Amino acid sequence: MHSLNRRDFLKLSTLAVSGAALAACAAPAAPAPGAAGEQAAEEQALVTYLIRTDIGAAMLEWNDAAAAEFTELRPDIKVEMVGVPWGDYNAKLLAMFAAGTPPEISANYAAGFPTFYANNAIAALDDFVAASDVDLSIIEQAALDAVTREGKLWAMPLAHMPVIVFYNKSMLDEAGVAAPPTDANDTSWTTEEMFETAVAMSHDVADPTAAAWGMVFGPGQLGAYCWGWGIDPFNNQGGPELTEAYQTGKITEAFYNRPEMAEYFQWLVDLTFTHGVAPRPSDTDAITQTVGWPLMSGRVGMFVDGAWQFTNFVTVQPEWEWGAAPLPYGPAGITKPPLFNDSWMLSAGARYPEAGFDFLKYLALENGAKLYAEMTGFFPANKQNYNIFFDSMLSIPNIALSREGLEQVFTTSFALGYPTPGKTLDGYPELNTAFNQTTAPIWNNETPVEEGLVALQTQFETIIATKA
Amino acid sequence: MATIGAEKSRQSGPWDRVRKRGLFAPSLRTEEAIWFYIFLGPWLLAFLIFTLMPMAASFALGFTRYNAIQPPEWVGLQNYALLYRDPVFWKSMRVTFVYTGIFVPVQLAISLALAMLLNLRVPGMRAIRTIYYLPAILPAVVTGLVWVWLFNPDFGLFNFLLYKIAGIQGPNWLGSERWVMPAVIISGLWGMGAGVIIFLAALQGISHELYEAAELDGAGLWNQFLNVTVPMLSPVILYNLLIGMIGALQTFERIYVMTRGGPNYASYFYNLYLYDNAFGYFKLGLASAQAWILFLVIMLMTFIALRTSGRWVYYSGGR
Amino acid sequence: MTTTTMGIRLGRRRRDQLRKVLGFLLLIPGILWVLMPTAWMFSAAFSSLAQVLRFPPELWPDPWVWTNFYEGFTYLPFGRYFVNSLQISVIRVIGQVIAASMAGYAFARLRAPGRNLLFAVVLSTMMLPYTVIMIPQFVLFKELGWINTYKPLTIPFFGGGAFFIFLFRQFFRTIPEDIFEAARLDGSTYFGIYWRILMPLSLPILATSAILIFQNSWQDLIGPLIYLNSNDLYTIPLGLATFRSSFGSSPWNLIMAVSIGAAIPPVLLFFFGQRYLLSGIVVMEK
Repeated sequence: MHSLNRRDFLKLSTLAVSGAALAACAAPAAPAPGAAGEQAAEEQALVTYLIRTDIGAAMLEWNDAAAAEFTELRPDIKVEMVGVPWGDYNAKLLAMFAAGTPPEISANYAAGFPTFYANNAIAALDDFVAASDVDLSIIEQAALDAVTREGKLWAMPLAHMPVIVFYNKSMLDEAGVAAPPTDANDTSWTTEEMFETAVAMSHDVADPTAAAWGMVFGPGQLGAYCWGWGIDPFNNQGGPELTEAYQTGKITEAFYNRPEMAEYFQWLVDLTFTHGVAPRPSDTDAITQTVGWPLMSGRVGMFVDGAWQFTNFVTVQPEWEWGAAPLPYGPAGITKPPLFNDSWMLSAGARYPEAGFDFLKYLALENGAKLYAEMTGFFPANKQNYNIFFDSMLSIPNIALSREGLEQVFTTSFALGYPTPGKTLDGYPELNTAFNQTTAPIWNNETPVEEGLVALQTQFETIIATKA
Repeated sequence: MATIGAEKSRQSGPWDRVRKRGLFAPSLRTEEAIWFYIFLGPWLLAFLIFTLMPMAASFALGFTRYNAIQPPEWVGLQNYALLYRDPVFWKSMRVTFVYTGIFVPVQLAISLALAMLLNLRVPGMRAIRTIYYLPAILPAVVTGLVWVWLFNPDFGLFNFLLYKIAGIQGPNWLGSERWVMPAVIISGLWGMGAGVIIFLAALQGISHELYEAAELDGAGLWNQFLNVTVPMLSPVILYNLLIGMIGALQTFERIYVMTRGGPNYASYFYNLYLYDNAFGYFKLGLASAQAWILFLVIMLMTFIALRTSGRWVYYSGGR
Repeated sequence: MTTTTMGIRLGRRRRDQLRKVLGFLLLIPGILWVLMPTAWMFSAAFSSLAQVLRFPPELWPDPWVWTNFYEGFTYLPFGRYFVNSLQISVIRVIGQVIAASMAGYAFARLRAPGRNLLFAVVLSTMMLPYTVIMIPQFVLFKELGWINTYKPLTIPFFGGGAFFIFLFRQFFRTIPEDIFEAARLDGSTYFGIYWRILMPLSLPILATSAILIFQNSWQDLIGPLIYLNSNDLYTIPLGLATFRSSFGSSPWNLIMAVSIGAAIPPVLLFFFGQRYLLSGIVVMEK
């Protein structure tokens, strides 16, 4: 009586069978390309290309165009582009590494090149370079230096960009102020001068519906814009050249609680809360959420940011005139724009390294680089494509710069600039989080500068101690 | 080979059992146990194949330094020692616990109240319930943005209303160390969470007769609630309490989109720090250690909650 | 219960009506509270991008734009993503609900050695943050060859999931033991009890689970993100995340339109599922 009667047995087996059928149904997907991992060398090589998808329409288009063209040129190589949003880039990357199937090519976002290098995630390129007989001299030397460690090349730079000042020329004209110069050697363009210009343009800052702010300056990566004040956060003698940490990648001391740093931070805070020429963090957040980059809202006069922001103008052409200028001279009579580079890397342990390198070559040194310079708005590290970039920028409506002016902004900034901490320091993401978290109350005027800097100093000392 | 409609078994003697079920039939007890394992089969299988190994691996990884790129390196208790000395670790613990302590009871009460209101049989209620359900289904990329806007000190609706209704100048919610936690709590109380749906379903199981009987006994609305609704719902209240607690202690997604843990770690939840360690800084060993600490804490709290539940949870089906 | 009954009944009806009206009124502010954040969402879905990007924001679409839905769904292959999401979610719901109810039944009404220990293990599986089992699980699935398929997103859930096993267990325990005993005495098998008695009684919880599991699966981002590589397998949340740009502006009008479109299946499921959700079968008390 308690054993299974026929009907129930039938039902149970139906359940089991449907369960199994469901399981089979759950695999209708396309066969995983190369996931089994054992592809014969004669078969098509598969280059997995892990890209960031939230970097703007221009980049997405370039990626598509480059992959398409490369597939035509090299039918023996299949490029599989896997797109992930930035916030989850590392999660995907690490998962692929852990499973032994890292993507052949990835770009140094999120963690940054030094972290990838320190974690042995990438392969040195020198052997590949030698074997393929490529001419690296067409790449800007500073960009190559930035990805050279212990005499070896670890990544292929695609973009090389300084921090500059973007401005809304129409707003400047309306306020009757002159546009800044394009020569970074022009010492008349100082932070003081910038301030005066901003004052002329700012109005109604208390009324968010009508506010216009003259400038956005910001602290820079880990406070790197302080270089204009003659100091650097990681040595107490002077500018970044004297900081050993940028050479070794490891910080051993921090000097955030120095008076000059306090002076710099105070200047920044005053811009917003005393003089009302810069927006508050909440204002910036509000604008960023919708418009994106605040300059595009037409309410900001000048914006200090990396030259990659040119990409905005590729996608959204504003109705007002716009231009760019180098970073102004700080009170110490110094201008030292931080230099960024975007480099693509070949993963260590990739299954198709030769094919990967070929793709890398295409992206950085061949036609891919040309497309890059033309389509993305990111300044190319490949010197041969400078003109393509300038042509592309000058074709955007309402640019208020001449060709010479635009060129000058870049060349003079490069000459005076210095690599930004994010590209030289190992463990930068952690330092960045600590910096942003601890300084947030300062920028919100909730904590006085001195107090905030003491907290920042303590925070960094703790991190240094744990890494020791 | 049971026959339907057979006479009821009259347990007469031991041979009856043998006669009816065969010489080698298992005992009742054993049969029940066998069926227990049959019904549990799918879970057991899935657990053994998909969950056990990763859980065990994460435990082991807590004693290593591991960046997913190279094989793990044994470091013993170093991760745990590092965490012990790390002020951000303790801060994130505190943030998480304070949040949980406030949020869970509030959420429970509101969920129950809302479920009872939504239980009213009023025309148009189906649409109203669906409206309340809508926020739950919106993607995080949308809701996070909406909250950032709502809490904006100048444009946000909150400060706008505060000013219009009470004449107060609202704070800089997400930018203030003091006010970011209230903002996080408020944003968690939006719309119909799973708790409300579950309460709604459970409310259906309370027989009307109980209410009628209570009313005849002279019980007012509040008394009915206290003496009929709550006891009958208590198994589900326990469920929502535990699930709510476990969920609150692991809060992550909303924070990631809204505040990113700031300002100054004021909303740096435990799971966010864990995530940063794992995928921000490539410290998967450390993150695993963190995860297991949280695991033990949750286990302890759940154990306490379950132990004390006997006193107030009433299973109308009998134990 | 004579003439006084009439008095009580009349009074009760009026009282009931009053209660309903009051309760209803209480819900109104709640509706505003709930809808208010979505107002911008709907506004953006029907506005042009230029208007959405205006600062400060203007809510009333001017002009009304109807093409965002079409544009959004074709900008990226959202039609494809929609079908993918649907496929995964439906399969998962069916498998997970069956498994969870079976396990819930086992824990609620079947005695066996090790039951309490196993239940503790079940609960413990929801106490470990997903972040740290993510990588080991990924490696496991890679060994199984399941990367870039839907298998990791469906098959593991055929175990039931701790949340829902726990839920079913709590619910089954509210059903009087007598029913089980009576059924056993009637000659029913354990499976018979499960299938013919428990399941029909559990319509509300089945509906609840279906709604919640569908919602979880529909909104899952991290799963598809790490397991899927091919674009034509992507799900809606993954597609939406791609849309959102941290450089330049995101096309909010399209994002909102797609989000609204994507919300339709779960909302429909809820709307029609209410009937089952609220169909309590009253279990007679002694």
